[in-house]
Amino acid sequence: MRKRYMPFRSGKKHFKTFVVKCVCFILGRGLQAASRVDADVRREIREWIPEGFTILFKVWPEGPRLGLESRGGMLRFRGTSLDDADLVIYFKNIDNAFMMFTAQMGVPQAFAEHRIFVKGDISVSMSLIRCLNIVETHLFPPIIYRRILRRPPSMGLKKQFCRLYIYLVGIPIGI
Amino acid sequence: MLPSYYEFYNPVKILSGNKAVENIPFELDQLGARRPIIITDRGVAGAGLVRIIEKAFADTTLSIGAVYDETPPDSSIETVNTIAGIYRKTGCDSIIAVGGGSAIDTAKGVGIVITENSEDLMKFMGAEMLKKTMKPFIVVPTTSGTGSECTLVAVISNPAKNVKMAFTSYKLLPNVAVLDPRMTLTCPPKITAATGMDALTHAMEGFYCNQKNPMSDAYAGAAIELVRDNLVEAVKNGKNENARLAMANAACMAGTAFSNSMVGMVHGLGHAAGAVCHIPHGIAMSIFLPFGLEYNSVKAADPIGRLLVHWGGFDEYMKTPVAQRPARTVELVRAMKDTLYGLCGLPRTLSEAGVPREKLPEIAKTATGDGSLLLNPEELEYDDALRVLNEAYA
Repeated sequence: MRKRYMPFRSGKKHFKTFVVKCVCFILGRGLQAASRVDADVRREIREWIPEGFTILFKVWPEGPRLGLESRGGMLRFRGTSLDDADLVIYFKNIDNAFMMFTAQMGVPQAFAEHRIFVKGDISVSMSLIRCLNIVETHLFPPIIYRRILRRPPSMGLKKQFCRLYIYLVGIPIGI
Repeated sequence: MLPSYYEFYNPVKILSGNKAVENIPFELDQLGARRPIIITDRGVAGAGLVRIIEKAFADTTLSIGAVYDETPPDSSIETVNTIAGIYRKTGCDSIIAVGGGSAIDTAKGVGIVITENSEDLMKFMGAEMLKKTMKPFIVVPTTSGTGSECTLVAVISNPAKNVKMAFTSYKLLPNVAVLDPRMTLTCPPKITAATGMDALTHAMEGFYCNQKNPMSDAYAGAAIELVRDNLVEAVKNGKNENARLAMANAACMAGTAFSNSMVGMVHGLGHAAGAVCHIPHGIAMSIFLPFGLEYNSVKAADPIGRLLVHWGGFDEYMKTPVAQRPARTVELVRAMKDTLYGLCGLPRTLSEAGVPREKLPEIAKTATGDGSLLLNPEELEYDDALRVLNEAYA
């Protein structure tokens, strides 16, 4: 019997895409809330991220995305509304995003392993990564963030308040 | 130990040794090019090095379309666009960069403008933003340090917007690198020393920073040994062609290593010191290298300890207890700095380099925005950077 050759399309990774979309939402709102209550995040934004600057995390080529905009000294969560931005951090595929967003690896390791790449001003991306590290300490328990951060911070009372705010107000309500 | 994942890429053809420059026309023909533009600077042209390249085209059917010899010490967008205009006007089809880091980075910028047909380089800033294959590109380094002939990086300043635009793309790697001892013979002792320490820093940081991999380790280790055996001789006796060629190879191999393993805080601090106080890059590398090794000697104790076999030699490595190897590596790097200071006055500290102490906080702040810190084994925050700068000042 003659073999028939047909174009082949791979399916979708529904579970990983769903998880990454969920984490994009949590991380976006977490960053927004941290930029309101965490003094270290506020300082980073004040010193490095210009007003009106847009940031996009995006799974290449057209996967889940997370948009942010610097406004009034804070980061505003823009959901999936941005197509392009001043700074774009691309994940090369959904598996890389899944590994990072499920805290299997931190940003330095992902960068070292070429799993992410950056379009735009690298100095702003360095500041954003520091913000991301701080938010990870609020979102994840110590047993996880100690594994992915090069120098885990000490979590004093103020930081515990930030964590509570992010979980009870920032993520559910979005302020 | 192997990293859980790594990438390595180096497609650059290396021509190394006696009369290597004379093979450039053949290599251009192989690349389908007939009419290159030469991009260089006044110092290189004044030393008669461009004449060597021009003579290589005698008795061939290829011709040089133009020679641009006004590249400034800092590559800038204006220069890049000016050269791109000359390239188009004179019907060139390829690029030869002759010089140090500035001429090579400028040439890479010209390659982007010509290939992408856009004068707005800002939109290509960052990593992997270039999709089109560049025009044929040959590099002839005249210093042995930057390793730009084998790196995927270009830094070009945009004075109007006061930013240094960094581009990293595999498309920026030249097709051919030409290491001809004649091209570095005229390099003065102090620049030879500074660029040699730059090459050593590329190799050492490439050997212990977080993107290291077995391939880059092989290049870095070999580069360190070539620097160990030849830098002092190249500084003492600049006319020694063997030492010059060895240093050119060391820089090229170190460039290949760090292009695939990237660098860390020594470069972060060096870039910042250069931006704030205009301290030459090689001098900054020489000053900061032992501090970078020391700072990382807990998190990266194993690779820094293993550096000793390349930098100190096998006997030194074997007689030093494992726990003391990182500290011994630092000691020997400091000994090299002292030797170079004695030979040509290469500054060992920031104060010797003329950096005002009140600039240290600004340097520390600028350093925290440098991408190379991301791959440093140990976290480096503002306070840490300031502490290291104060130590490097005295």
